[in-house]
Amino acid sequence: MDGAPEGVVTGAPAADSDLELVRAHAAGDPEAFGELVRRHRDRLWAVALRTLGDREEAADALQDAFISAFRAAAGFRGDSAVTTWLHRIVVNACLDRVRRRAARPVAPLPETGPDEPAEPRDAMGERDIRLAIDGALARLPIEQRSAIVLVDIHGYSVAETAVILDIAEGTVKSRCARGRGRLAVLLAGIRNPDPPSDVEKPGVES
Amino acid sequence: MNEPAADHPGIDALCDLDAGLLAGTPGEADIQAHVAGCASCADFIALLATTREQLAALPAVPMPPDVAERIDAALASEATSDQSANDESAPATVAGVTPLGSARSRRPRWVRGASAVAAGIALLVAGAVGVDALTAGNEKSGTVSGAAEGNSAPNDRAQRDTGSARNYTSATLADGVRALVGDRNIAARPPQPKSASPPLPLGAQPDAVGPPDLRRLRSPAQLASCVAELTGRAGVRPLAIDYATYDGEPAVIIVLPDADPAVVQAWVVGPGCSTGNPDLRHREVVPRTG
Repeated sequence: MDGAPEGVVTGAPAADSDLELVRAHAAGDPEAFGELVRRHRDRLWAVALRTLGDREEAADALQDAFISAFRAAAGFRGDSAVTTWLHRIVVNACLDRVRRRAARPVAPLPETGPDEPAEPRDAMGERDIRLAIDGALARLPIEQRSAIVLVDIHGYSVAETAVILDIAEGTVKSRCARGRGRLAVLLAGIRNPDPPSDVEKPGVES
Repeated sequence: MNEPAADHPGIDALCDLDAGLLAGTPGEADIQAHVAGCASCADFIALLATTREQLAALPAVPMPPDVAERIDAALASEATSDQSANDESAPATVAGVTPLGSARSRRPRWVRGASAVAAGIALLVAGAVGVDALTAGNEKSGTVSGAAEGNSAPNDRAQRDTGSARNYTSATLADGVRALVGDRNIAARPPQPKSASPPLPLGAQPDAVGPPDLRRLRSPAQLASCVAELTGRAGVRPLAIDYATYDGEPAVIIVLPDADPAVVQAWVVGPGCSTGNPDLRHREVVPRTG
């Protein structure tokens, strides 16, 4: 769980050159920010897509976030790694969108319904499990989903996730724990063609 | 299976146990003992492990080319408008008069259209009560997202960015701040003695008003570094900005969200606020409702 990507918490080698790019951008280098974006956009895209569960919204959020980072870079003080800072801006852009659309239910990723497995249960392949996970993720409350996306899917440490989400480490852990439980319940029926009834008893009966 | 269902710990407790959150708590040993002897709860713990493995195994999803192109284009456009903002900053605001067109050009394209229309309408009826009804829609989203501690929307210029030229004092700051973040009708409020000109609608022409000493802080980048200096981190988006005076001195009132949604933070900074020098004049936590 703590297999953090390189350089995120303490600033390993890669972080320095990110920082140089931010400084260069702030100093007026027209190429620097584009390079920074190219370096990190795939990972940030994946985070936005899984946090929002909708391709267009993720694209909008990411565009918002990069523009915001472009403008804010002059004020970046290096208190955290550049990647942490970028993730924070991206995740906040996503959370902003989720809160603004709070009245609407979260849309699942395309190609799968939130309630039904995409295929008959006995034909669940790897791809179907992925789709089922995406669909189940979309049913988590955003607080749990954003923590799960960062920690369980993208492998960020609890400490860095706490910085990105601006919440306590204990809160990250508990959101992940509860979110995992919910996912497990949602996926259980899909994963086990004939789920033993006692799998779900703990929550129901206690 | 072996024991009565009523003895099962709840799913939440099993999740917490699995995540190590029960370590050191009185219930930990009991639940562990239960799981050790209960096949269904042990199954659920195993299910959590499987879920975690499956989440970790989800494949990478590279950014699609069309999204990448779109973002590159947006950044190129931003770079252009950033450049023109720099070019314009020198000649602007001699007597506080900035051509509306150039003030608008600092906004990104997608904000510019809407706010230019709003500003145009607002200017026609400037001074009239009810101007804010025209702009309240825009500002609402800025306020809401700011309150959510967002720091990233492209419409961050939709924050309440005013140049009221009001003179705030420690006695009037709280009410003034509440007016900035909460009261849609600030433009219709009785002007302070110092503001002889008709009050400007919010956001209509922010570069044209306010003390000239504060010109540097009108640059989004400079303002961002000031805010970063105050908060100790980058990216916090103010709920409202007012270029004004405090105790008669040029000052920017910067209203920031607080972790407690019932309050906001009011920071009063002088013209020198920047990285390494907050130039802080006053700070106050203001309840949103007075």
